Amino acid sequence: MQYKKIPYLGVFTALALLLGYVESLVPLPFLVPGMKLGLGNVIVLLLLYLMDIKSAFFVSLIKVLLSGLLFSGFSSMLYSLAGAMVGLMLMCIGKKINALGMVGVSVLGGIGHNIGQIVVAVLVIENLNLLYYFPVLLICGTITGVLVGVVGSTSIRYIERFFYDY
Amino acid sequence: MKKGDRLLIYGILLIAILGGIYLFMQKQEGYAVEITRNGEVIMTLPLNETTTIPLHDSDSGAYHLIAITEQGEATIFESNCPDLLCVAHKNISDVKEMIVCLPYRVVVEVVL
Repeated sequence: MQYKKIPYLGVFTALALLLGYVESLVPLPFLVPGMKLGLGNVIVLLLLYLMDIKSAFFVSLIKVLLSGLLFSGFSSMLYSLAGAMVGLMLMCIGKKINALGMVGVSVLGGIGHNIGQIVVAVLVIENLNLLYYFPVLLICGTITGVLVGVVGSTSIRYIERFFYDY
Repeated sequence: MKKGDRLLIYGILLIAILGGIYLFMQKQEGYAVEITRNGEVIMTLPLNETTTIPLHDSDSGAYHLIAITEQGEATIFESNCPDLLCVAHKNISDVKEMIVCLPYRVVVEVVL
């Protein structure tokens, strides 16, 4: 059964990459310079629900590495990687909590992304005052998390019937 | 959306807003900006003089044009960094506000 997953994971990785690229083409007026919607996270969220943690982890890892190499350059890969991993960790914990639905899990993922990135930024520039951005980042993470969660929970209805086997 | 989702969202927003209010109450006009590269202070500029300082770094090739405006605010006017987020950042004038150029590790921070 395992080998049947591989083509799906490839398609999902490609989708995540593409969503990340598409959102970089659409400039949106946001609260903070550099704030992103994180549409690629829709895919990670869907995988977490349709398959398992391992698939979500590897797709998210490969997405970060590829989009770092293709678009954003090596220096920002570190931030994306930290964000993606902390976000995924919080999403896994959130999914274990039964009271939370997809939107809640995605909100945890959104703020996890921001927490991971700001921690790396604090380490890189060696200035703890950067943490003053934290309230703004929490709000941004919540907003993007809700949007991603709504997109995820809407689209999962249409595709989940293809994934009963997994 | 489940009830737990709503509670989580409200909880996070509450924490963020309380944190924001706390920071807002501490707000204080600054008198100078400290420019740091790789964690080392390179120079300090007073906010009451209008200036523009081009900042070159021969090691990394970094270039930043730092300006103090007539309103006593600091800004990074121009840079050759890849993401240009430091240029997009709003002007700063309150203590502990900062503009960070992550790719080149340049920080402009308002101090007392």
